[in-house]
Amino acid sequence: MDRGTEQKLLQKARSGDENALLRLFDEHHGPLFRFAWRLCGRAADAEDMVQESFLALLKPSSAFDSRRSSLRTYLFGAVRNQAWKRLRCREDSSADPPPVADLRSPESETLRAELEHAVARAIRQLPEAQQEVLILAQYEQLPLAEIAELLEIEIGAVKSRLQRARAALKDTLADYAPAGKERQA
Amino acid sequence: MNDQELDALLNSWQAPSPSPATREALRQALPPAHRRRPYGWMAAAAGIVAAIFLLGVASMGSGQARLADGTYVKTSLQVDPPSARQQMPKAGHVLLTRGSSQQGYFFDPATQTYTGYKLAVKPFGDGTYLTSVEPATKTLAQVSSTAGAGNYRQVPLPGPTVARVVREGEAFEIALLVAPGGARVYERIELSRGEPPSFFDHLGDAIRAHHMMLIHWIHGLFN
Repeated sequence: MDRGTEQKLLQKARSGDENALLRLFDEHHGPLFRFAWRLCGRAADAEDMVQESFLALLKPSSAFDSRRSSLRTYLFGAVRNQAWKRLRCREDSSADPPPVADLRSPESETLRAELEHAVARAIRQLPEAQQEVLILAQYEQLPLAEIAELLEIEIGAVKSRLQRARAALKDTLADYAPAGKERQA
Repeated sequence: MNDQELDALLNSWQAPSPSPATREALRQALPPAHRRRPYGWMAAAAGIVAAIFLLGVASMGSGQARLADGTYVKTSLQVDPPSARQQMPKAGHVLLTRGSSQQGYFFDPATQTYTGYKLAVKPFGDGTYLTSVEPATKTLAQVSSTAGAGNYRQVPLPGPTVARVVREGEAFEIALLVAPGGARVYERIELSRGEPPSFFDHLGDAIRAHHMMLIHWIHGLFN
């Protein structure tokens, strides 16, 4: 969906057209939900954040300016702000309970769940600034320039954070790499 | 660990899909001005249909007549459930009043069959009536100008034809047809003495008479 269409839909949505807002929602909610879920780890919280971001768009006080950024960039930024705010307010910032390996499931399934959990834990242990850059780049495939715009930092800073995040993950997850497994064996 | 191996590890972390309910939750959370439903009239029509179906039965025709002794007979042909009316879209109804009896016929051009009854009424004078029902004594062709009525085959009444005493204003039924699927067509009859039908009686009859037309009209909106 191009920016012009989005802008028209947003105008309609702000003037009371429910379907226009739902079209924008259909276009963007999937990546926003995944981003929110990876940051906060709770599906219900992620859904709330996405919903609130869209509702905030309708308010006259909404900071979105189509001349300054795309709607996608703005929405990712809104979800990000909410996610960190919630996580800071939440004393127990632990994510969804780690998946419990089902002893009846095949061994490969158990290992897959364990690996997934290890990756999630490793990413959540990163500093916030690295976490968000890594998630946006690795999982949502956002261009570095858009991440820079979203986080209001220079592209160089984005690259740097991404490199540091990846380096840290290589260390943390070394035991799960094929070579590491061979070494363990 | 090289970059490809790290990518492979990172990509093992899959996010769940958002719940489909999120969209509806957003819709529900919209301020009232945004909660316009462009197809709200369809929801309203569906509500009307549901309400009509909830009434349980539908009238296929009605009539009023006064017998020779002054007994007023109010008759309406009903189908239960109303949706069964669509299986007999061209079915018809004929009433014939003579002396102290009334004959009623239900016929269906689709099956070229009809059922008919003869209702005899004897007032006791204390607000009760002795009624007896038996198969119609005239053929459909004798009482109706329906095309090809002479070719219609009479089928027996599904219920027993017994005499009974009914009170004034008390409705009773004469079963005319029980379809294989369980749908039932019957005549609903009320007897009263000497009181002409009121405006509200006529209004009620008119509503009942148009009941099926309304159902068909609403069905037409959706099909």
